[in-house]
Amino acid sequence: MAILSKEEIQRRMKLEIGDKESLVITPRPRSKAFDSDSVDLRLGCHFLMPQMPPEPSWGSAQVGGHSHTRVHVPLGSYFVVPSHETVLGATLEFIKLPKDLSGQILTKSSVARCFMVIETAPWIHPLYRGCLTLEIANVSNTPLTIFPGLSIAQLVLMSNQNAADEGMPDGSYVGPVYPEEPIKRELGKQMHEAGIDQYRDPKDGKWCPRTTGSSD
Amino acid sequence: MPECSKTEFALFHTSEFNYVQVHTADLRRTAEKIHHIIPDAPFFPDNLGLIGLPYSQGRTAFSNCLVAHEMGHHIYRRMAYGATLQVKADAALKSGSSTYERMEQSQKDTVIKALTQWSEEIFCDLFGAMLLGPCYTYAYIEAYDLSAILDCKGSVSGDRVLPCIGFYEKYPSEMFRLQQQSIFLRESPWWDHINKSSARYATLLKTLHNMPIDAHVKENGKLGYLIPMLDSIIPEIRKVIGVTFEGVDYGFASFSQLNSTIQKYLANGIVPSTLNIRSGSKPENVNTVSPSPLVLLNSGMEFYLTRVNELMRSIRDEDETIYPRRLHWVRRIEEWIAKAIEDESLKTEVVDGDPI
Repeated sequence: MAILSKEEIQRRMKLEIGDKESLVITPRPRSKAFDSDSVDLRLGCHFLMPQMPPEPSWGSAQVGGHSHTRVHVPLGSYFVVPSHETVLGATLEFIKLPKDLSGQILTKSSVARCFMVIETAPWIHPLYRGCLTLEIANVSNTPLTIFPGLSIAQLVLMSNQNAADEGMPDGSYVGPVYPEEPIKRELGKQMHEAGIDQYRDPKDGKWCPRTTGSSD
Repeated sequence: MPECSKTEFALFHTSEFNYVQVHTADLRRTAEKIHHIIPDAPFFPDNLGLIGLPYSQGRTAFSNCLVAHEMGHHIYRRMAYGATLQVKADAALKSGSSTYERMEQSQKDTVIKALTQWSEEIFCDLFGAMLLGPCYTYAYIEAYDLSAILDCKGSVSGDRVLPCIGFYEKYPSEMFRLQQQSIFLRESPWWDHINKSSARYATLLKTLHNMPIDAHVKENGKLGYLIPMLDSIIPEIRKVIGVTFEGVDYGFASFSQLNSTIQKYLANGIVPSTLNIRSGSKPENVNTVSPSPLVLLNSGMEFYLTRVNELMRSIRDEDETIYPRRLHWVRRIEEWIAKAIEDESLKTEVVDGDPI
């Protein structure tokens, strides 16, 4: 894998979208957003604030009634992340990767130095298209203010010679433009797929047999 | 629109089913009273319109094209078009109704009020169609489920027309309003595009154009005799629309230039906020264009009405016959268009005189 240079990123962004090497980053980043080997991405206007779940939950398993409150913050306004709190956001830029590129999104160093973490699942697969959901966490001891439209992340792109198939990927995550909650899946089926016979139900702590169905 | 360049609108959610424009006269009076009590309290802004949209429509893009109708109400009042059309209504009644002169004044007031209110609704519909193009009319068709009057062959079915041909005290029938939009669009540059469209809503517009006025009169009993009079006022309403939009670009030329590219972006699951338009034979000869909201709404609506199946078939493990999945992708299309409109508000960076 080789990291794409600024020139290569800009060359690919100029290609028509039907071209197999076409890279889309829209709205177009400002000229200063391009570094020699990365592109700065800006914070989007939509947020999902997690509500305190009434029951314990694990990852994407459908256990408790874990839900979020949707908030829109227009450009020019700001959003305060309280100390030691988290919120889901998204990049302002919508990205479409061609089949021969993978990407990684990193917290901008100036943001990281305020003890703000914006991404814990940073890998972007070939053919991905959508705004990138950011898991924003204020790990500092003071509230932090974030402004939609300002740079918050860096996108690094890598060429991948073992390219994936052509066409659109699975539809679950195609085209999101707002931060999205994890897709809930039944815990029993996840255990079944993992080859685990029994599991403890977090609601009452009792052991349950795995669900035998294989589909979601 | 030169007369409305300082007009602003504040939108809010309501628990009502309908979109609504708030008459601000009471709010102005209240603000004045408060100003007398509290020095420096602001007056209600002269150029502010208040529009409520159903909370259920908060995240949709296409249905909210109907907001243009409510904007029309604000402009109608601000430009005092009611007085002009009331004179026309009075004249239409004098020449069209043999009993009008013998009516008591209260009866006269009632029928003039009805005609004027109907005229205002027609004005607002034509305002919406003029401001946004066919996407306004398509949103109107969707809101009232009017395409249901077409049978499977695309012809108007008599029985299905009946529920939407009845006039109300304050509103013309949905069918009459749609017919007026169809006639209006037929005379605009948009018609060529509508005529070529395979969308069922476009078929409805093409079919409805020839519906005779007698069909409306026949189905409306006591109110029926007023319909030809309303019909006689419509040229004046169009004239008023022409004055309101004098010198305003329809946006059709830009739409014609960008529509196919926007559709291509949507078919590939990409937000069409920055378009690459090839300007020569070399791949690097590319112009970057940000389409206007008007172009985005019309292209997006056309895509939604004609190409959802194609989009779903291109996505792995997707089935276009499953309703919840269709709904998911329709929402996605709306989100992409809404995102592109939001992106358009970012100022384009210019380097060496060229947008980048």
